[in-house]
Amino acid sequence: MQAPGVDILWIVVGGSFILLAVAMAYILTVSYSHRRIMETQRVKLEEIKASEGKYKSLYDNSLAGMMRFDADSWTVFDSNTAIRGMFGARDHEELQKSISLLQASSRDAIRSRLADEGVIEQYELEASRLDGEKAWLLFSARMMSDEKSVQAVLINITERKRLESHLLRAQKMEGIALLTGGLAHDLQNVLAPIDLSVDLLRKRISGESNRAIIGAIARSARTGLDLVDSILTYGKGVAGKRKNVRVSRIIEQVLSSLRRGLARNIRVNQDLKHQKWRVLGDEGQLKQVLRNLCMNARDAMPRGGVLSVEAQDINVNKAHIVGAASPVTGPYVVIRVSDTGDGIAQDDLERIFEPFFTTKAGSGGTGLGLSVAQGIIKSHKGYLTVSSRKGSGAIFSVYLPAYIGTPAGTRA
Amino acid sequence: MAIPTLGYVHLLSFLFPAFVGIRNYAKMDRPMRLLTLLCIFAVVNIVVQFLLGRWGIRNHIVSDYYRVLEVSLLCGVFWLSVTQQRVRKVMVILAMLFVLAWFVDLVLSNGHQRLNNEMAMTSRMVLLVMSLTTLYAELRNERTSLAERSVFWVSTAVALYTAGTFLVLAFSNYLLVLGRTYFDVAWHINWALLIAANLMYTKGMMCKPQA
Repeated sequence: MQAPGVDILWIVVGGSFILLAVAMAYILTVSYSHRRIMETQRVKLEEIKASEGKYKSLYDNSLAGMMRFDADSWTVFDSNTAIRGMFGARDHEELQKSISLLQASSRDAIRSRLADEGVIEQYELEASRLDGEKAWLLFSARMMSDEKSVQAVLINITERKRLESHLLRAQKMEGIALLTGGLAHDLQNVLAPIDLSVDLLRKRISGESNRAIIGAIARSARTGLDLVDSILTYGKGVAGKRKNVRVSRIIEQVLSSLRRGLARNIRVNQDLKHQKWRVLGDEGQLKQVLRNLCMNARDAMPRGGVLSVEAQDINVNKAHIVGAASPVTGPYVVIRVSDTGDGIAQDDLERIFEPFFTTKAGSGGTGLGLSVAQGIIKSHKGYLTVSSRKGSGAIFSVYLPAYIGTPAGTRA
Repeated sequence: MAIPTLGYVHLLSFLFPAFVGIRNYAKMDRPMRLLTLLCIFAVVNIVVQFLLGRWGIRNHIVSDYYRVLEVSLLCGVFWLSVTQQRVRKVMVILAMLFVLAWFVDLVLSNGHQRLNNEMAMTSRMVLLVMSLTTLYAELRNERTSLAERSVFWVSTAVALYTAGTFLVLAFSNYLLVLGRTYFDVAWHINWALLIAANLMYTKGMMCKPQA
């Protein structure tokens, strides 16, 4: 027979182990459950992270600018790289600075449309970039459900705007060319007989005073015919005689003849050492272009200054020639005529190539010099561009396709 | 009376958490600092009991007073470790009930003439519920794995120790009556679990504090 102490001992030891095992089982169950929860959570988190990463990448790499901002204060909460690029901002703070520079009228218009309709689509907005340039942006936005923040998408349409304005200007110029061309033809028909008749009359008339009158009529008729000639050159871009010509030689000849007529307080700089290529062109017409540009530069410096003419050979590679309607590539000879005068006002800059537009009305300018020059350059498949800021002179650049066996100027 | 080797090991095991706690005190979070305090009291308790036993003085009175301190401080450790208000309330109520029971027992027991099995069992029961509740509450905390959390090691230690020693404490007086050998056999379970619990406390103290 077993002693009662042994039974109790068995109960205590056995029972303790059972209780211990139960506690351990509970702890293990909790640990296992927790591990499973953690695993599920980890998978979910990874899925969320992957999804977030995907959308973040879409957001960051989008070519359209995106941002979220406060509807009232225009405080930007977040933004993508594209929008910072549109405003020329390097980081979030700089973007906020640019946003605060938006025109108050535009901001008010957007704010009120968003408040009324909750959405605004394709609103054209003019913005100032941090580098001082103007940018045109197409602004679409939607008010978020919290009624406070706004999600906006912006597209840079500066280039489109530039092309639109270029097209408008080209259409306007074409219209003027057509009109003036017709008028010029009629005027030529009127002036040519006068010019011929004057020559015949000169032979028949005697007396000094009569000859003087005939001389005056002849000069006026000749001036009229020259003017008509210029208008026709602008309108049609007279073909001329295309020859293989050296640009540097043309420049040297023009400058040589010009130097004599320049005031002493105007210094001429010439840099032609980087110019070797030839162009296919009419020497006389190219000289006329250069002469017109140099004369304009001279007139822009009544108090004296520096007139610089430089030429160089360049390879235009997937870049815009400023002022060209479409991208061009290939070898070009560029002639730059610059002055240190007062520069050209922004408003005038847009109209400078229009025929009869002149800022020298009082001093006998016809307003045809630049338009004729542009007509000539166009007929040479080249480009004439201008850059200027009021107070810091002007630079006129003539791009002529280089002639290296075959003419350049391939459109991209 | 000679103490078995496991008895000495169990005595020494109290030093580990106390030492690690004091060394890492500045780096630890509030629950572990409180546990360090408990471990220091545990060392003091065990040393006093050992010395009293050596000198032949009844030492179970000390463990009776230590018990209320142990429950209160562990309740504090669990309370600080969990964030759910409902769980915290359960702990405070349990601790208050225990302290009340302890006072009633103190008044009614008319001095401590023997091992207070009833209060020992009650304290184990309260601590077991607290530790299991804490473990369950920690299940919902999905920030880090359980093994990286000090509260997991502390509550596991408490749960295993209290579950394993519940019957030993309940029957210790009977076993003492039956003979010293019976008592020692059962008491080895207590020592073994105490050693395990102290090691787990030490591990808990070495965990990185949770934010």
